[in-house]
Amino acid sequence: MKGFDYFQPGRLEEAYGLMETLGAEAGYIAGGTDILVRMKQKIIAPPALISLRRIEELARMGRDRGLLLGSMTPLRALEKSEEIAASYPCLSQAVGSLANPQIRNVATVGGNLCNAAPSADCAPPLMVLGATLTIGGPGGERTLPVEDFFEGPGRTVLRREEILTGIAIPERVPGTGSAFLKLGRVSQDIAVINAAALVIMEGGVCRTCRLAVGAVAPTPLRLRGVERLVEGRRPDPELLAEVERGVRGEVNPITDVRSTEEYRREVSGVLLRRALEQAVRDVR
Amino acid sequence: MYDTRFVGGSVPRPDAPDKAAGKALYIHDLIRPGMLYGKIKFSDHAHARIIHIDTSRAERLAGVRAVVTGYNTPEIRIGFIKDNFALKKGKVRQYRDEVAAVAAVDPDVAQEAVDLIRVEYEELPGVFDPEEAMAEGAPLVHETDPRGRPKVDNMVPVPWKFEAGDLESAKRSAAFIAEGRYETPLIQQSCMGTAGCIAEFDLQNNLIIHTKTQIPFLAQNDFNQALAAMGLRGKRTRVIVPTLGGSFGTGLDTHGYEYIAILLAYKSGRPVKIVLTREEEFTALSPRQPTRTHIIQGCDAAGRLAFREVRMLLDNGAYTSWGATTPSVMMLPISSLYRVPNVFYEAKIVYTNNTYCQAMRGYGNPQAAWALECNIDQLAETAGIDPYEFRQRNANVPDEITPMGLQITTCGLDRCLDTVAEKLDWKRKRGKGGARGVGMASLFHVGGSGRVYRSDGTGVIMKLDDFGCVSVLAGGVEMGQGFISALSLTAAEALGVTPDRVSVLTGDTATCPWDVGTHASRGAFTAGNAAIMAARKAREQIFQLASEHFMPRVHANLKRRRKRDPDFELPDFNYERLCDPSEFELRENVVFLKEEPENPMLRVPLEEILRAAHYKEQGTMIVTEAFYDPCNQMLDARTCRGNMSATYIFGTQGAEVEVDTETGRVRILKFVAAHDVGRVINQQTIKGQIYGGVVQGLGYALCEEYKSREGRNLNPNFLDYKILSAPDLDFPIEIECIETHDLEGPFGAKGVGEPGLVATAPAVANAVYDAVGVRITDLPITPEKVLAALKRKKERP
Repeated sequence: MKGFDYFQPGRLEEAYGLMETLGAEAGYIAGGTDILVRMKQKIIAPPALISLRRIEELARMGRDRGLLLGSMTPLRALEKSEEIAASYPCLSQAVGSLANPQIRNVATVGGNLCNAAPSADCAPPLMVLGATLTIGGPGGERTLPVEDFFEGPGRTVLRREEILTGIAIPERVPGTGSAFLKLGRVSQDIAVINAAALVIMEGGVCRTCRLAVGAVAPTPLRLRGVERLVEGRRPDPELLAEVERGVRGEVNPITDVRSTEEYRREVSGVLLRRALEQAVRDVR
Repeated sequence: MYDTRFVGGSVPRPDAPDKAAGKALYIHDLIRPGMLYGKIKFSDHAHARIIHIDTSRAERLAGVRAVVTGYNTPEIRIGFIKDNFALKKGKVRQYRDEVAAVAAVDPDVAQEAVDLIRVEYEELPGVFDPEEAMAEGAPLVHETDPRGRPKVDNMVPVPWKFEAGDLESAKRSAAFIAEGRYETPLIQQSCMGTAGCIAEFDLQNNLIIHTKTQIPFLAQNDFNQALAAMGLRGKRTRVIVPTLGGSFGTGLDTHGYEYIAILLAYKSGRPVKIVLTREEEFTALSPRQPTRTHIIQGCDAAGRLAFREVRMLLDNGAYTSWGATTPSVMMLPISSLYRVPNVFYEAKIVYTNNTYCQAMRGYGNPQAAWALECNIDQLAETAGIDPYEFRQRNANVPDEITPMGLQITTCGLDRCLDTVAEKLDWKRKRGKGGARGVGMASLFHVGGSGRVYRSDGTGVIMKLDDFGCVSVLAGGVEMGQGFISALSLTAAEALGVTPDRVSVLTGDTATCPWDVGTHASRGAFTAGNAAIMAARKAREQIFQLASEHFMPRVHANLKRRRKRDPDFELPDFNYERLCDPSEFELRENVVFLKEEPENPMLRVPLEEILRAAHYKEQGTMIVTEAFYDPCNQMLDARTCRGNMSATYIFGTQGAEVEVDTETGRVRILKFVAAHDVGRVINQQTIKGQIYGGVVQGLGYALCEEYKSREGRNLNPNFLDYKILSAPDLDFPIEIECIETHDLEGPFGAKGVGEPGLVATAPAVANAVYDAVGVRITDLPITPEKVLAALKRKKERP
């Protein structure tokens, strides 16, 4: 690995300023569990890294009619949060399946999103939970829904000097159920496919349905067409079969060293259907 | 059966605390004064002519102390047919070919210097499939053989053929026949500790090399030859083996990087360390040989095996190492697992531009067992016989001589089969559907070492000190398998001391006695037997000393007691008596008279006898040695017959699985391994070893695969080369050691190192077949393959 300069600003403005002076090739570093691997593999060689670890406001977890997560919250904190387990089981399940405890102690929720892997385990659950992201920059703040954040493998809407500062998850509504499922080659693995489902039920009918799937397209994917199939109907076997077929039509997977296009297409339908079934069972 | 005090117990390994606490020194931890860091420039092509190597920019870089290529160093040939070179000239034949190397003051400078080396190539068409490599007009990987004679094809000049009985007539008269084609992939040994070495020269130009090896003494010979090639004929090599973080066969040959470190150390005059990165470990170390097998077996109406015909094609890769000799071990189960009178086996090995292969745990046996044991299930089904029953009908028996001339001594195969069937609840669970199933597979392997070189010997030295402690110097290598644990218990038992008195020292050719190498599951077996021989000699000498010193020591001790306790009355022994050595016994560090074993006054601690021998005029000391070379035979090169091992090991493994028919995922619900181990030396170590083997075997079965495109590895990391880890093992693994008390083994023990993973994959595949009726014939059994097979079955039931 090539040598690099390392900065640890204590405030956001300081970080933006550093980025401006350091120039185009500098980068931000959160937990570092992805970036350092890529540096060791010589895929990237930034001359300078600006750590976000000392910026206290990024590491907060709080409440404001819902849940506010600082982008630097370690995944382990999410995993251990009883509130998340109770209100947002799909997120809790996703974080628990990500890598291993050592990595989760260091890796952050914001880092998982900014890395923008199509297989990012935090993306599908945050999408179905309707999370919004706050992005800070020298010019001020902006917010956007998490599904508008990703542009392609490794690419997001973040401008060079911008920082993902926080994630807001709306309050859980009674009658909500959610679930996350993941297929990997072994227990500790990047997802071959991951899927999240959220339903809000009323009298046995699904009033709201949100479905998302990862690793089967250039970005994590909201499946709006399939969601429309579900909304207003009872989750009976007929509908579930339609969901499976619908998902296969909406995904756009590739063949790589981890799996095949055919397998991912076929099984993403199965996984989404199972996630939907599990979400319905989870309704409280 | 032997009456033992320590052998058969369950004790922690002596080397465990240091490893758990991070105190053990691996090659990664070692630093020598003035040491430089070496880095290798590997090829950019699978097959290309080298036009020019420009090292000038690397040489000018500050901190660089030496740069070597094949053009500015003496030619060093490696491999057992010498078709490989430490540094390549003329052309490269695989991506891992070493074209240049540097030594620099730190690893970053070394890396930077390697990146500055420019190599100009003319790309050549490559060949990456063994069948294509055999086709007419295929590009030649080697234009000449190692002696310089022109080559006309890509065949590796190491042919294997075994024939017994009359295959054709057996085929004609067989009642049932089953045929199958099976494949196994390249897999990597995946040692936790990557490979590496530090080479240095003393001022007389003798070589000292710390290196990861399983063959310190054969490596010494290889390195001496390299010294001769470097113009240093007559200079000596000392090989020192640091703590090894797994080896699994990687250390059975010497490697390019070791010779390159030697060349760099010689050129720079400084110690040079080369440690492979994880990525280099994947791309530049030799993995397990991939195979394609065509197998046909037949049986009579009663289900007795009539014949077995096996044809195999092996991808050798670009150069020849021990991978090309794995058919000699594949031949063992092919000729001798179950009783089968008519056998044909042929293996062809072909050069390609893929990475070249070497040894891995099992040495060909997992590939052979994969085809054999899946096909046995096919044949049993064709014959309408339950596969467990089928195996029982054909099981080997004690004192059998097999068509290959293997002389089976003890054999616990029938008990292994019964144990697995019972533990899996076979009768109730087999063939019940519901996407759940059970399957089993058996194994046959050397258990009493294997004569693959002219010597199959191992040395042990026993050095006793005047504190009653014993240093056992052994030629074998501890690589994580438990060699030290097994040897310390065996030595303690044989000598008559407690295991805490024994220190096993290994891994230094200057101080340890000669050994041919730690391979073929031979470590505990051969060193244990040598330790028993050395202990016998030591006991003779102890008792000889005791005949003179025993009664005087008894007298002195009792007098001292009277001094402390005036009421004590000195017993009326004949303190002047010279005893006969045969009167003594030594047990748990105490010498006593056999006639009065219970008399507390007639007991002398071992250390008092030894001290008395040291502290007298014209005194003496006890150091004994033994060289054990088992009664086994080398294979006859022409007929492939010979009793390769002093005894053989059997085992059966079984799996209960559940298949998710929508995702194709195979879930193991329970795994059972029953192994004929002769005799357990240490319960903890042996179970750990079999457990580890099973997990490695399950990786081979379910997920491990070294993926390549046109010779380039696509998954050189644990991100995409998947091995199983602790969270995957959410099911019970039950291990049963069947004791057959083999007379050849130390206290009845057989070698057990490799077999843990031999039968694992076919056991899983057979269980998958029982669960969902699809047979996966190429490893690993991935969800993608299972799902596709289920789909095909649905379309064409």
